[in-house]
Amino acid sequence: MKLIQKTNRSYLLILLIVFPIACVFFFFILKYFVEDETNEKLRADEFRIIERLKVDTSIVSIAPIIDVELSLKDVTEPIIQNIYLYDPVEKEEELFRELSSVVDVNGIHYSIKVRHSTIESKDFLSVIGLSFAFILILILSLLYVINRRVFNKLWGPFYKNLQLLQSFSITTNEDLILEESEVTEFKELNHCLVKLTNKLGNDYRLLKEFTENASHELQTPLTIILLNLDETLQKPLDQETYKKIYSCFVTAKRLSLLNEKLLLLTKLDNDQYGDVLEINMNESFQKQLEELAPLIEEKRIQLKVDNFGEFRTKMDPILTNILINNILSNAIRHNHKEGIIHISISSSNFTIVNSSKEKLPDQQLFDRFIKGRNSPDSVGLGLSIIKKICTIYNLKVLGTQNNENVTFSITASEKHQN
Amino acid sequence: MKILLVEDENDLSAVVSDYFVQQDAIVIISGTKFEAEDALITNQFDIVFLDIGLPDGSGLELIPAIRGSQENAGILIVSAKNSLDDKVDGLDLGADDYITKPFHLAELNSRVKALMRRKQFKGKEIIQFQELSINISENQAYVHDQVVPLTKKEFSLLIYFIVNNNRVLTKEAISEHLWKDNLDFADNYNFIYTHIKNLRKKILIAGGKDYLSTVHGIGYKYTIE
Repeated sequence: MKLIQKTNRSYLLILLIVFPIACVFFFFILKYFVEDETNEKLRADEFRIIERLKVDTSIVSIAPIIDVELSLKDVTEPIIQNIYLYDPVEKEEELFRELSSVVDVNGIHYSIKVRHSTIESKDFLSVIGLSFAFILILILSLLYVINRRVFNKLWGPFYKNLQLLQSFSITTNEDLILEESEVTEFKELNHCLVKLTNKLGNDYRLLKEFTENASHELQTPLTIILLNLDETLQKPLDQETYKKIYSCFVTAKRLSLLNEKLLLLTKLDNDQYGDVLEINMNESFQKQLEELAPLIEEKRIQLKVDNFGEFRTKMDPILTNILINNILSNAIRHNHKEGIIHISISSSNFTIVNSSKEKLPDQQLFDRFIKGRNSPDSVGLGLSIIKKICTIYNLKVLGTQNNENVTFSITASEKHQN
Repeated sequence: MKILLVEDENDLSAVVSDYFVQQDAIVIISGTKFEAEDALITNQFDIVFLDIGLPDGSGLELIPAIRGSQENAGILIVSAKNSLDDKVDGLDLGADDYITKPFHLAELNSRVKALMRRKQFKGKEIIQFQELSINISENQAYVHDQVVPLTKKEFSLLIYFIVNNNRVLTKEAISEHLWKDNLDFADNYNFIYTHIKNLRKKILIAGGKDYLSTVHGIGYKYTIE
């Protein structure tokens, strides 16, 4: 959710909580003042009637607001209450506030009832509710408009910098140059980001150097071991020694292959990959298949290639070869005699289905050091290399298997997808 | 054949040097850029074997000097890094070929011989081995005058065997020769077996002798015996 949406939603939430409370509060205050005012008027009316009775004993009643009659009851304190009465003017039941009392005027007891029509609570509520709803809508729309303006002004540089950061690549060796903002927090953020990216760039270069050095340091001694063992194999030796020397040779060779693969993975992990070119996957597959054709024939594997469309993408050509080679090698190596390989390529996806002689645990399909049981020579890094390369180029790779087949499906994800 | 070996690892240069000396080559070893510059002034070489990582700088920096003073030298860069940048830089500067550590001597030998052919015979050389002859420029192999129809891999394999005759060639070395960039296939030996079987068959059909003997469990040897 975007920041502005989030802010607007919080405002809405707060207003929705505050407004009903305010409504209730307002209702009671208003009710209190209206009743208080009515009470005062009623007392004033009563007072005027009593004053009038002192000089003129004729009884005047105006229904339903003044009702005076002689009474035999004792004098009582005035009682104020709400009652419903029929109003001949409105021709319906109306709510009245009534003050009733029995008073003594010059020794005669009168029962006096004075009434004022008053507003019903539900009317109060609906009026308050309507007004508040109107105000609420007004405030919200104003907030929305103002927020947008302020937001664009204040957060504009932030969003620009965010874009810069997204396109920032540590491999390009370019420094991050951010847009300045007047807001202190953003200034500090920019400062931290620049510091961080500079540090990252530095670390990255050091790491790259280290990786290269590690490669050099290991490959040279391995070369010396291999060359010497190879030379020893040229000499006439007894069978047992010969076997032992060869075993050393093979092991050193494996070590060197493992080192190369690990270095490749390290390079990929560190985003140290090379140039990006437009690649046509259909052609790349075709080339690799030609290379591997004898092996496919040897295993008498049925190969089927469907080109439904041209899969074009931008990738490093070496990594593309490694990717395709790994996938195909995997499909051939883990296949059984007279198995199948089915490749289908469309404009945004390529899928390789192959029959398999063994089933790997699903979650281990991509793990680094898993070796197929029937291929002891395999170092077993192939699948993790596939996965890594796909991650770099935003390709979605999916490996599934059933009892007979293993399927690898690689799909180009939409560009600029968040 | 005169070779300049620019390599700072003594053990490595010793093996390489011994190997080429056995082939009657003259080998001069330089452990640093400085020594190499010295050797270049007083000698004319056929092949310069150039390690990139030297104690006093990058071997690539020597390429202009070699190109300047050596008329016919083939330059072979050796790097521990399988890095495209180095390869491209090196070839741009005027190197002729690029080999990555670890390499096999048979592979190095093949590259050196190919370089010699390219430099001295402009690729028009014919490799002869008993009744077999290979015309490099035409990409054709013959038994006597009969053409042997070989695939690209089989052709490359035959040259590799002939150039490295009398040497035990391990499956690993052969595999790497055929599939340099394919890390994962360096360990698949059925693959080589298929190619070798086909190559043998085709030469026999064309009336040639089978000079390839199996070194059990290890590899092959191409020899007259």
